[in-house]
Amino acid sequence: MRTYLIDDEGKELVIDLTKTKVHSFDNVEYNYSTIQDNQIVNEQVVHVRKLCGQYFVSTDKVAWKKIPRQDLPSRMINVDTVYNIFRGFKPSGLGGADEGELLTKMPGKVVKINVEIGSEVKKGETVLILEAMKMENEIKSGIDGIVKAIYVKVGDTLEENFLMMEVEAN
Amino acid sequence: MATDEVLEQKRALLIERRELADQGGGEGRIAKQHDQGKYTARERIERLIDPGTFIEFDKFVTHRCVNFGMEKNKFYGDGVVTGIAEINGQKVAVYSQDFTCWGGALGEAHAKKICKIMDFALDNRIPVIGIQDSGGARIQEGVDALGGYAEIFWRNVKASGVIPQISLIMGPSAGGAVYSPAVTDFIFMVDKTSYMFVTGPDVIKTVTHEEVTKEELGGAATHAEKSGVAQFKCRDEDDCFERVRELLAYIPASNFRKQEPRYTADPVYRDNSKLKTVIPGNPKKPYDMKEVILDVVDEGQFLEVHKDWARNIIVGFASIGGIKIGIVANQPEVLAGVLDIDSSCKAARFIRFCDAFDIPIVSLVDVPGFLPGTVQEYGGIIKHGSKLLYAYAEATVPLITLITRKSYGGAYDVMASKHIRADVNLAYPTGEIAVMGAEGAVNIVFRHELAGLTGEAFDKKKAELVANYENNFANPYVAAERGYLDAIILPEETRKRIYEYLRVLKDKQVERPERKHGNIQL
Amino acid sequence: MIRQLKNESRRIMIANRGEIASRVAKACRELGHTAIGLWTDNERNATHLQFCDEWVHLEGSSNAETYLNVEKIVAVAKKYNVDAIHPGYGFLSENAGFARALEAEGIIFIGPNVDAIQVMGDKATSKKLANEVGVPTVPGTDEAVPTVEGAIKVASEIGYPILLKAVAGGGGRGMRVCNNDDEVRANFDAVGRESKAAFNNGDLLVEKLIVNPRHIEVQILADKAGNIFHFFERECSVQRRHQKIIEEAPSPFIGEDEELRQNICNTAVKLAKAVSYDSAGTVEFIMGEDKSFYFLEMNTRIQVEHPITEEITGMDLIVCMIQSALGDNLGIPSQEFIKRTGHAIECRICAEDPITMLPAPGLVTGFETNFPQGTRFDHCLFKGLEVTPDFDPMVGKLVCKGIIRDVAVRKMRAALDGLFIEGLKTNMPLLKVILREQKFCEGVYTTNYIKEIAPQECVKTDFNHLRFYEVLAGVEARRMGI
Repeated sequence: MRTYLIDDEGKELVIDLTKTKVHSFDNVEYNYSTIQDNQIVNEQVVHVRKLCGQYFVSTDKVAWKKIPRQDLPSRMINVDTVYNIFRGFKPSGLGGADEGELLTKMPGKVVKINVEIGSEVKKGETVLILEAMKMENEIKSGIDGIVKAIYVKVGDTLEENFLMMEVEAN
Repeated sequence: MATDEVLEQKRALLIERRELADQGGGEGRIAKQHDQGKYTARERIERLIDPGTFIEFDKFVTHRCVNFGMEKNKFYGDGVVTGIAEINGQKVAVYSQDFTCWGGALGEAHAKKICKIMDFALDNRIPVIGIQDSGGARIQEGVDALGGYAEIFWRNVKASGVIPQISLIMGPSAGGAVYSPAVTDFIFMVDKTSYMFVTGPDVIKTVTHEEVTKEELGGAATHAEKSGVAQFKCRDEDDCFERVRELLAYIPASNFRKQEPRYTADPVYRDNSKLKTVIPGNPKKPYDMKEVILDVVDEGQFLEVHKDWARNIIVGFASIGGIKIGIVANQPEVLAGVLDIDSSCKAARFIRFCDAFDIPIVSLVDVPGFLPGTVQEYGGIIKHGSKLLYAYAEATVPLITLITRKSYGGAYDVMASKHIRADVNLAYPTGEIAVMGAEGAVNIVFRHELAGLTGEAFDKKKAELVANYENNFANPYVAAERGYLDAIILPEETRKRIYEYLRVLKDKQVERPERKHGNIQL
Repeated sequence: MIRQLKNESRRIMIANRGEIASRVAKACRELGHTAIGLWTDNERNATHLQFCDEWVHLEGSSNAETYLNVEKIVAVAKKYNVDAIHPGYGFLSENAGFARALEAEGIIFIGPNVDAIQVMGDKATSKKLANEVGVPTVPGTDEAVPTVEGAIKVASEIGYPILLKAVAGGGGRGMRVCNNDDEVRANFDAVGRESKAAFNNGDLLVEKLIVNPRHIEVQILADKAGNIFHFFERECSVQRRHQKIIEEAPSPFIGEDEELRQNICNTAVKLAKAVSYDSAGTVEFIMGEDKSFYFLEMNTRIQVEHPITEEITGMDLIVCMIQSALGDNLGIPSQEFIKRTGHAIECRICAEDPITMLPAPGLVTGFETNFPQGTRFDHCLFKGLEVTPDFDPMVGKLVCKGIIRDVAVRKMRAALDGLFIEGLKTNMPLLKVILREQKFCEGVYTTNYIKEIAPQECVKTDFNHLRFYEVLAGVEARRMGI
């Protein structure tokens, strides 16, 4: 089971609980590893047991340290970085897909093209206007980049899922 | 002395049998399963639930079939792992079919195990999660296997609307087997490794002579985008487990108890100043309704259901001020946000799920009407559109409706209007509630005035009439004057106003006349 | 307070918030008075109200509308029949207008008399007064020196090294150090031109440069009967952007030099007598490497770091301050009665980034303490506290006392390790680095400590995997029900 740590800039660290072994009712072993950019960067085994109503941890079952009483915090600080903690799943709605390929979402007619091949575009900039269902749809670039290819011209009537333009990240 | 040895032997026997049961179909088949990018049944359960919380039932159940020499071929567990576990602290019943045992084929004992766990879940009011990975019925068991399926289907229906039922399709699910997931509330499919169809490509080829691959016919992409059978399409099995955990954070354990609010650090009274500029002044320009949703809900977290199907309507789960809600919203960016067959069905089912489980529904409306065309008419838009209307009218959960821009014609009535007993109806100042848009209306109402004119005079008169119409009718005030809207709010107040209404509506109690069940147009 | 003479219970309002309000409220209650606390619209969950008997709402959500609004506070005090107001530190504690307004209404201002506030509140008048009574101030000219020769003359009078400073300058700009006559000749015109360009005023002052300066301040306590005492000194040289981070009492620089100690403390008392001081206050000095000291300014209020003085003298300054304001005499027979023992260190725990030291508001999701003997923690923390940018980022003061300085340092290290705050970025990693840094541990540091040693660069920002594993494992264990 994974716990996602996402800092305020959107950078992500994943802590994976790879194995849980129950030795006895008050002594459990957890195998953790940290994954960053799809690479495992740290692995460790942590033992937890309860003593006098408090929880103690150890890495070698000999030296024990008390852990402060807290339920799963929603935020944890590592020196100067604040992480939002998500246990078990990364919530939807956080972070979007980067779109460099611009496909039509519905049939329509191209009425205006704002860029040329080689133009520099920013994420969210309107590159093309498509008229459909009596609405003017502004097609926006999903990423910062340079227009690599334009496959349509003004006046074209397009079907759904037609690849209109490609933007390459720079 | 002898008794100690006997005891030791008995202990050893149990441990040996446990290990044998854990093996499933054996090392070889497990390796094959892994090669295909799939986990084994037990691994799937381990990864889905909170670590260390699985309590297994019926580990040693075996079949009693004697046809075709089956008595020589038995597996402990009979190809399915069932039990009780916890997810995010919530108890759930889980069953996971084991593809390594006869391809996960279902037999009498296998079905009995699943039925037992479903009965347990129903009695204890906890959700059921079924992981499907099965080749179908066990031919050797004959009618017993078919009967087994039916027992499961009957229980699916018995529990429908009482406890949430979730199906994870992580392998083949074909023939009659698909009807169990079909009845359940949510279907998760894993891209590239799962299939659902009633008749497979081979049979199709012989009967209708169509050539189609398994993936094209019933893969995750097909069902998530074309048919709408699957609510969620997941990248891989781990992603699937995480999405299930996320879903369970938003839905209650059963219809028996209302949900507790979830913890959120997002202040309720923050301004939605972003929304001031999201809706363009020009009514011909579309905008992304998702931006509105993400700004209003807690921490921008929104679990979208049926993300890739009928994208002209958005449905999903979120929370506002910790109160968990379902959201239904038209998406002006796709097909201008019109209602059509698919979107009506999508929204109607979601609304009925929320109604069954006491989840308040917030509807964000920007709909110019129903999609015209023969495809829609021949397809029965009349029937399907009525489903949406029925679902809203039948719902007794709190309904809060916010009209952001257009709400024309029949679609105005359908989208949770005051008249079908929505609890709170709001609109932005950019709201336009009318029978139809200005252009169309002017053409009909002022036909005579425009009859004799042509060219520039025509354009000028029409523009004047259109402007006149827009001033008088394309605004929310006419409806507000009649009380069809409870309030007109500014976009930046959206979140706090909706939260206040949700708090008040928490204890809503409405009675409906007794009946066995209504006759929703199916 | 040594003896409590008057037994009437008074109604005392605390025109402040945070940890000082809690501190003052506790002192009021100890004396049997009614503590009245204020809360505003932007701080409904105010910690200090827990210790107050009555809670009064101050409408408004910005400091200008509330804690800095003289009319509002006076009106509220009248409405609730308040006998006295304690202003704490910051806000209106050194606002002569406020003190005057309270005087007009017959409400006791728990602080010095209005004249003292006014005279000491202005750098010019306080310096002038200091010179008049023979308290040394930073040697130099008060007016611009027009010529190079004039500058050299002044320099020879006050002694090198000197600072050529722009009259209109500030923030460390428009100044240059000169060690002898030649350097003055070389730099005079250049600094003049620089200042003219930067501040539109090319006039220069000449001031003595204090080498390796230390910030030493003396705690004064007086009553309305004219008794003025000093409570020894404090050293607050670890500072950044003029914000103190760590303070200690007594000063490690003065060390065992009792003569110097007596000298500086008596000088402070002399200055306090000159304004007929009658409450708690602090006289700040700057001391050079050669042990010469010069008056900087006087803070006519109780200060953040008063606890370390309380620790080494065993006196409760807030209680004394309240009693003296209410008309009791302190009952301290003589200056010799006040003795000091041991050494105390205070670390300010602030909600800020440990490296950039910029404020970092947040929500406290966990708070636990596990301190060694001899630790005192004055704070406003609780699980669920929201630290907002509206107020000062300081959330607590950690004070450790030891019989000698080394012991105090050791206890402070243990205390920092035993203080657990989650959900908030704090300067604790920085404090931990400083408490282990060699120069600090030797007690040899100046006001340039942060700049020269730059401890913030030694703060390790590596991701502490084990700590996260431990917390997550603890959560799992709790959920599994072990």
